[in-house]
Amino acid sequence: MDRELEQSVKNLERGVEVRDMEQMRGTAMAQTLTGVLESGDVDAEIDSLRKKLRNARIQLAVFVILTAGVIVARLLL
Amino acid sequence: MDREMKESIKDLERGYELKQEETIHGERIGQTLEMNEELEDKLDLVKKLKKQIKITRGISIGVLAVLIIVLLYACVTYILHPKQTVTEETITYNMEVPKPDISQVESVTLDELMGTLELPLDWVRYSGNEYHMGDSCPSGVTLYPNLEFAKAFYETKRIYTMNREPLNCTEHNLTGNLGICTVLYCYDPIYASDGFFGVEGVRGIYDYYSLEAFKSEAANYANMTNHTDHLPRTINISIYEESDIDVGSLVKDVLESFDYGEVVIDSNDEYNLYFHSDMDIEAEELAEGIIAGLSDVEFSIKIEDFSYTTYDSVEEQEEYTVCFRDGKKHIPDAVKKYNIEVTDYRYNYQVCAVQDDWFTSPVSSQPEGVPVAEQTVRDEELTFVMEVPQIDMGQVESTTLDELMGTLATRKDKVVYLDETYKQGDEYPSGVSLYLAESVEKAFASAKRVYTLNGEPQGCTSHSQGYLPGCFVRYHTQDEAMKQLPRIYYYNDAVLRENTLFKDLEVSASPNHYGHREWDIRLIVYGETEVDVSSLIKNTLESFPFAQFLATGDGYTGNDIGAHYKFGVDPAEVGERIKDGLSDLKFILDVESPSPEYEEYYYSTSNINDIRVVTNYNIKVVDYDYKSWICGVQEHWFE
Repeated sequence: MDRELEQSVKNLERGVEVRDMEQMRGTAMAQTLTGVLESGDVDAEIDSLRKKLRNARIQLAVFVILTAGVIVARLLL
Repeated sequence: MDREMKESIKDLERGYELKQEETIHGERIGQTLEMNEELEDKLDLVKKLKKQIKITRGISIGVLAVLIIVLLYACVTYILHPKQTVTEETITYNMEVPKPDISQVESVTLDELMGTLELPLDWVRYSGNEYHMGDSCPSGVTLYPNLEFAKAFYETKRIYTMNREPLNCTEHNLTGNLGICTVLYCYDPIYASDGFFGVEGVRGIYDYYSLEAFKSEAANYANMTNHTDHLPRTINISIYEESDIDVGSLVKDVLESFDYGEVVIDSNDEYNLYFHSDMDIEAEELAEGIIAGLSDVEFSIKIEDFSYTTYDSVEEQEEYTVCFRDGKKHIPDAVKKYNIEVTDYRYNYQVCAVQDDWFTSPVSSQPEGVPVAEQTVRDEELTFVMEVPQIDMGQVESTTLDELMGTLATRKDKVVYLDETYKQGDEYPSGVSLYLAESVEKAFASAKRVYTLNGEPQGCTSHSQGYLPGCFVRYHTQDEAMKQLPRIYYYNDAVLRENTLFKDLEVSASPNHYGHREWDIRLIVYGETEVDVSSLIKNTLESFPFAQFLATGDGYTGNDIGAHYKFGVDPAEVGERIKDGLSDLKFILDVESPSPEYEEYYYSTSNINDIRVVTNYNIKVVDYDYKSWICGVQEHWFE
């Protein structure tokens, strides 16, 4: 009986261990999935920011050209 | 034991499974950590990008602000700033001949003057004749001055009368306007236009009227405002800044700074004597004077200068334009515009005075106050019209064209045969093209061959429409002549050749003349005479070969090819032949040719003053210039 009990305890312990491990595995998987999702969002945001930066630079170039043109015209006339 | 073994094995299996699971778990944790790191990097990048966007936008806003400021400034200076008020001013100057100041006249005798001038003796001829009121032509001293003389004579500011028309020289003397000393200056526009200035026409006469009378006359002349013509010139000045400069005064001062009565010798040492007010100022020179006075203001200046070199035509036109000192080209508005007209009047007469002792000798043989017996003067008008002589076919030589070409081709390289045949309606003649040298042209004319002269190159093609089948020689003047390459074209028209019976050709001198020139021959015969002057003149004129050639001296015959009727004869030759026919008569002969290359012929016999019967012959010779002139050809011309 003791032996069976001992075996049962062992089985229970093993069952707890397995459950814990499964929990940890699940948590890790969840974290991994979350990381993947977050990483995808950040990439999209980076693309968006890059676009914005390019537009801002174009805008700046246009302003610079316009300003230079006006200044040159003013000097010539 | 077996059971234990089995248990152990199970444990081992379980341990192994656990180890594998742990391994997988560890890997997953590693992956998660890596992803976390990547995510952190990306988040950093996001931060950086956001920062850069902020900076760029900030700079853009700054630049935009600058742009707005510049635009506002431009608007203020250009749109909102009031426009310059441009005022225009028109100024007119009349350049007058300075009045002679008689008090400035030197006291020199004419002899002294001659001595001062150090003229070669053969340039000064004293005739012993006295000048009398009513004489037709000046006698007394005749001066044929060279340039030095003319210049010196001008500088003495002595009496002289300017007269542009040689024709009027004698007439002017007849009036006796200047009783004591009159120097006639004859300015022949024909000579002048050809580069000859009529200094040779200066003739000096003197007579023995009182000085007071002369002074009176001189004063009258000095007060004359008998200007003949004027030349306008325009000066446009625009000032682009406010300035206190009195532009009107400036221009006036500059104009007045020039010496109008200067003697100018051109590069050819021709006699360009500007006795009268001749504002012969280079536009550039004038402009520089004005520019110097405009100090540092912004300006533009444009001068249209009508310098003249001929009697009555503007031959030389210069324009001077300068824009802005600093090279700017576009200045929107002038502050002030000056439109300045300068009118340069030319006077017909300009008289200075002489002094009492000018004529210390000789002594007058015509006492003052003694009336001169009136002359009986008859006038006779004669007009001769010179026609083209008809072609005598009998005189046409019998030669082939090739022979003729061979004869003519003194310069083989100038004769070009083209194989093309001429077709009716061709735009431009083909066939033989001859580029003839002067000698060839002469030979061609003397051969009395058929040829058609055409003064108008543009008329050549229309004229060539079968006018003379078989042989058609064309002479280009005008534009072609300008190229110094007169051409004669021979039409080798096969079609026409078949139909050509040259001997049946109607040969005529086309009356298609396009102009004429007129000669003036003035002959004054003193005393009664039996000479038939009309016949004399006619015979003299007809003694010249009218179809002669006139080389202009540069090897180029050009318009002067005498194949058409052109009375291009030296007036001296005509004059001499007429003179010979007048035998021992007393006369004055003046032959004026319309040809610019010839000088006027003038001859006066001596001792004519006491002859009271005078016949004036006013002879006109009308010299027709024919457009076409056609001779005949022979049957075997084209063998």
